[in-house]
This record gives sequence, C-alpha cells and structure tokens, in this order.
Amino acid sequence: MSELGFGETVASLRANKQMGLRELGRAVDISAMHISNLEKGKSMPSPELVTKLAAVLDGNLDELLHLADQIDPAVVDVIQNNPQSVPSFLRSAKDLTPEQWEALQRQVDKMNKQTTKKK
Amino acid sequence: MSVSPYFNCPDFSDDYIELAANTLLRDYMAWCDGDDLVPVRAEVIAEQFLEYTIEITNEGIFSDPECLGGIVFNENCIKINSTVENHEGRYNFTIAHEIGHHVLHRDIYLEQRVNENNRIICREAGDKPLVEQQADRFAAALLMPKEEVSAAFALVDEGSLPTSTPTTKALRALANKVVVIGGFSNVSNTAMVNRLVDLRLVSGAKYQTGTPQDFLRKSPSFSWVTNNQLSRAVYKLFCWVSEKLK
Repeated sequence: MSELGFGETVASLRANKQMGLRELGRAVDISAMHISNLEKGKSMPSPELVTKLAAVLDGNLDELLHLADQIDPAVVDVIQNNPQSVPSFLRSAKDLTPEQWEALQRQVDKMNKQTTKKK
Repeated sequence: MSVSPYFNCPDFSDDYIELAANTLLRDYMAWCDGDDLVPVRAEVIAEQFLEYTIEITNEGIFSDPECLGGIVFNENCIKINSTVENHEGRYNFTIAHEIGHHVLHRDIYLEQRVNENNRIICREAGDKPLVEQQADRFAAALLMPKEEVSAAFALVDEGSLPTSTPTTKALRALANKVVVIGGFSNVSNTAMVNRLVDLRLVSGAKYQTGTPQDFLRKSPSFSWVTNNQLSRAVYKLFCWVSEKLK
C-alpha cells in the first residue's frame, strides 16, 4: 500500500501517464482546477469520481478509495441489498488473519464460478 | 544594461532568449525521447521535466481574472488562474511564460531576494516590465520555435502573403495558416501573429495585444496579497459610506 496521500497518488499516477491537469479533468468530466485541488489536498473526491480516476489512470481502485476515505459504491450496494447478513458476517470476521481472508476470498471466487456455470 | 523595476535583471538580447528557449527544448526532447516537438507541451515540460507543480486556482490574487499566472520559485510551483484553463492558447502561453521566468530569472531573483520585501508584481496594461517582456519572448520562442515557424511559413502559398502594410485581418489569416500547416495547435492566433512579426517574417506591422499579469514573490504564503486586497476592499467600503453620507 502506498504511503502517499490521495492527492499525491493521483499526481504520481498522472505523471506516469504524462497527462496534463486539463487532460485528466476532461477525461473524468471535471475541471482542471478540481483536479488541482484534489492533488493539493484542498478537496476530497466522491466515490464515483475515485472510480473514474482509477479507471483513467490505471490506478488500484481499492487503494485510491481507501486513501480518499471512501467506499466503493458497488460495496455499498452489497451491504444495502443484504442489510442483516453482511454486517453480521463482517462482525464475525473482524479478527480473521490476512491468510484467512485470502482463503475466504478463494472460497468466494469458487462459489462465484459455480454460480456462473449453473447459469 | 537596463534595470528592471523589480530586481536587477540583465537586458537579455532576443538572440539570448531564443537560444535559452531552444536549449531547454533540446534538453527536453532528449529527455522525453521520441515525442513530437510541435505542439510543444508546456505543461509536461513544467511538471515533469522541470519538476514544478502546477496549481490551477481562483484564490487570493487569482480572484482577479486579469492575473493570469505566477511562479513561486522557492516552492517550485506555477500558479495558473482558473479562468485561463479553457483557453488553449492562453493556458499554454501562461505556463510557457512562467517557464521563461524559471529559465531566465530564477537564479538572479533568488540571489537578490535577501534584500527584498514581500511584494507582488503585476503587469499593467501598456508598458510591461522588462522581466515580463523577456518571459513573453521566451514563451513565444518555446511554443513556436523559430525553425518550425519559418518552415511552416515557407509552405504558405504566395497568394496568401500579406502586402507590405498588412491589415490586422490579413495578419490573422496568415497566422492561422501557419498554425494549421505547422501543427501549432496549442497557440493562439494572436501569439502567432506576434511571433511572425518578431521573426520579421512579416513586415510593416506592429501587433501586440493582451494584458496578462504576473507576479514574483518570496514569501511562502499569499498573506501580503490577501491583506492588501482586504485593505482595498475596506478602502472601497469607506469611500462608499463617505459618498452616502455626503
């Protein structure tokens, strides 16, 4: 995980792509001043904007959302569609180790594949 | 040797400024390895080659739309007025102008700043301070390199060339042709007209418009500017009240 803040990370990703402030602004439908303010830490983005920035800059969406103190709208949807089971699951999983989380992820991926096959 | 009103700055010759811009371009081209020269990407030169940050803002002094840009040497920061961001030519010229200050004036300014008070330098309409004229000249040379402009100009058909005393309209039409032929897609027609005149590719014309403003400062904050603006606002309020009480 990067030690840079959100603004610095966006600036760094933009530099890697050799994109100007205006070019990035146009790509995500906001003004260059807004991009400039984000990079300077003068404002913080919405989750939707982080999603667009990650896509245009080829950044890691989860990392950028974390740095921006935001939650992926898709994750919010999952919670809202499962108002009891998701919070309950997360509470019971709060002490899992990183390895256990990985194992859990593999299990979920496997279940997803099985669901796709059935369809 | 003339002296600028802001700090002691040599009266660099046009040839010197052209050379300085060409040297920067040559170094940049070697660094970026393969990009097309034109249109010259002033933003990339400033941010990635010279490692300045660009801040687009409407705060402080930049609440005045007449103040187009500035450079803060000791923070490696170029500030651009947000009103400029949608004007391709003006945006690039402003950045190139600030790059001009970096190349021509940074070392001189930083050497002399010990004896200077915090202050803002704004260009007025009309006479421009020497340092501003030099930065403008540099910006033109950077964005519209002499060789590339001359090559594009040579491709303009003879029927399009203006007479010995060209009208503004004829100059603008000619500049537009040079912009299109040379691929100078990030410069304004006005800037190209000025460049053609500067390079003496057209004669009998004097053409200079625009009143961009600029500043140099040494303090890390805009407090002086803000306070000054506050003072002006208070003064205006005082005048208004006095007028009402009459």
